[in-house]
Amino acid sequence: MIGLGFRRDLAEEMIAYKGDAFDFVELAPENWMNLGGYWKTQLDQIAERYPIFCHGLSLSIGSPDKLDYAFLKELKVFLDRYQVKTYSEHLSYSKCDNAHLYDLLPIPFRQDAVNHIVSRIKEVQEMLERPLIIENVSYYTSVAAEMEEHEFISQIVTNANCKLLLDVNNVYVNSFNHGYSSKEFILQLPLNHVEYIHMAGHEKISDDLIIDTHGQDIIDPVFELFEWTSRQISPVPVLLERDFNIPELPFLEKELGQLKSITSKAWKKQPVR
Amino acid sequence: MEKAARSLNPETHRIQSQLAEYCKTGKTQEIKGALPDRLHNYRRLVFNVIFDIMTNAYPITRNLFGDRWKEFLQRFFIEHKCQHYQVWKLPEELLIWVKNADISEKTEFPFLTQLLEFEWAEIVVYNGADQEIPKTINHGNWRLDDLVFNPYYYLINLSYPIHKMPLRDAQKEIGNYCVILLRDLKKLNVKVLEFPLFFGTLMGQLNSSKNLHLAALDTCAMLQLELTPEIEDQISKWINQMIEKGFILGYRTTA
Ligand SMILES: [Fe+2]
Repeated sequence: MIGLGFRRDLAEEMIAYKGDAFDFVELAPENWMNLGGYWKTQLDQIAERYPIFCHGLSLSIGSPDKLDYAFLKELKVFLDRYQVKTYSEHLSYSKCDNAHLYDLLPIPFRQDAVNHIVSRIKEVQEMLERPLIIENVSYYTSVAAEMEEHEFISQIVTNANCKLLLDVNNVYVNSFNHGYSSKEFILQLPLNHVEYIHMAGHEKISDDLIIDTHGQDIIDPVFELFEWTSRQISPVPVLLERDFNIPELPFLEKELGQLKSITSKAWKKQPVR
Repeated sequence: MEKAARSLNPETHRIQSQLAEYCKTGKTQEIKGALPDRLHNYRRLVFNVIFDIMTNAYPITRNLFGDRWKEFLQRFFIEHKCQHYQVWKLPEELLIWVKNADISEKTEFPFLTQLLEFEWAEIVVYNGADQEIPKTINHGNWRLDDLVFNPYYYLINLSYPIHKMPLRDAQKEIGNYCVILLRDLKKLNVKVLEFPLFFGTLMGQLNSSKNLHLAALDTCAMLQLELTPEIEDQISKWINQMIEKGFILGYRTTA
């Protein structure tokens, strides 16, 4: 299964789309919850045609603040209404000391943070009555780290017994920014927990820094890393994330086609999880 | 002690707070184990979100501020703790911040809060959650029967007619303007209606007293008028006009 991010710039085109380049759509629930009017009609139309996957923004699983139960309640109503089975969130924090920052800040790779997040994941899963899938995020500096990134992710995923959304582009971005081997990194993750994959483009802003913009085409080395990764894991849904600089749908069809052809070679005859 | 704080060491919490604080204020402080030359990217990315959402929500205000818009938003972001988990609702927090804050721009642009509220009202009317609308018929007796109003509207009293002329001109036309922003139920866009004082006051009364006849009596009392047959006739005509414009959907029916 290949999916495409449902963005307002693309909504009408995606609703009218007749081809088979994508099989599901992903959206940020926070951008669509509690909406009426025009955008609600767009949401309902796409939901009639495709399964909806949700990729959240405001859960802030790594926050020192307590969980926002009012938000979780509203989120559950939304997930139930659109029969969302796949709900993922970023392994980062976007709210701290009672202020939202609306972006993904890096959590210190530390044991107490692992324990803190594991208990929160369990609580979220219980409240939402569905599994939470945690995504590895890109980061530009680690902060007060006392362990490696792969240890941090692995411990959280295995101790919480949750699923992993492996963002292959984020691995590539981090391996470049922090100078490690992307393949070695992936092999150190609990790959049997991978439930979902993200693919995206990024922007190299200097000789030693890539910013994860989701605003460019996927570059060949990321396609290659994805091809290699797909051979290490069982079949899972794959999403093309494109959040800025959004081209016309026919252009994205090409990238979706590339993803489809890689997965159909790597995962011949194996059913998607 | 809060449930979530139990497993996190105070030091880890402090480091997370420092990073968040830096993103909000841009005030550099040493953050343990962080690369100082990379941190500014976070400040930039976080502020970009705020900048984009406010610029889209408040295009007229943005033009008014010109080059000073960014600095204005930075001040907001430093002083205010953003509360809403849905970022599209954040512009309302800028409006409330401006209403409560002691800022020189309110003297410089005395219409600033009205302008922000007018721009925010459009978002509320366009995006507001859908509601169940009762069944209606087109004819009835407004003195006895319940009228059904289009639920997606925002009533705003303006002293500057920013809804119908450029800001420059609106400053010379100070008055009392009762304006309603209304969702068109077919096109789903937002249109603006202006009411004469009588009907603006009537709408304000209707919210509290429900029935139009009682509201009309209260309005007349407020404006020191008597509810004469002429005024009643004008109300009837207004109702028909409002049905045409989609502000009144008709008379409630159970059929
Ligand atoms: Fe991602």
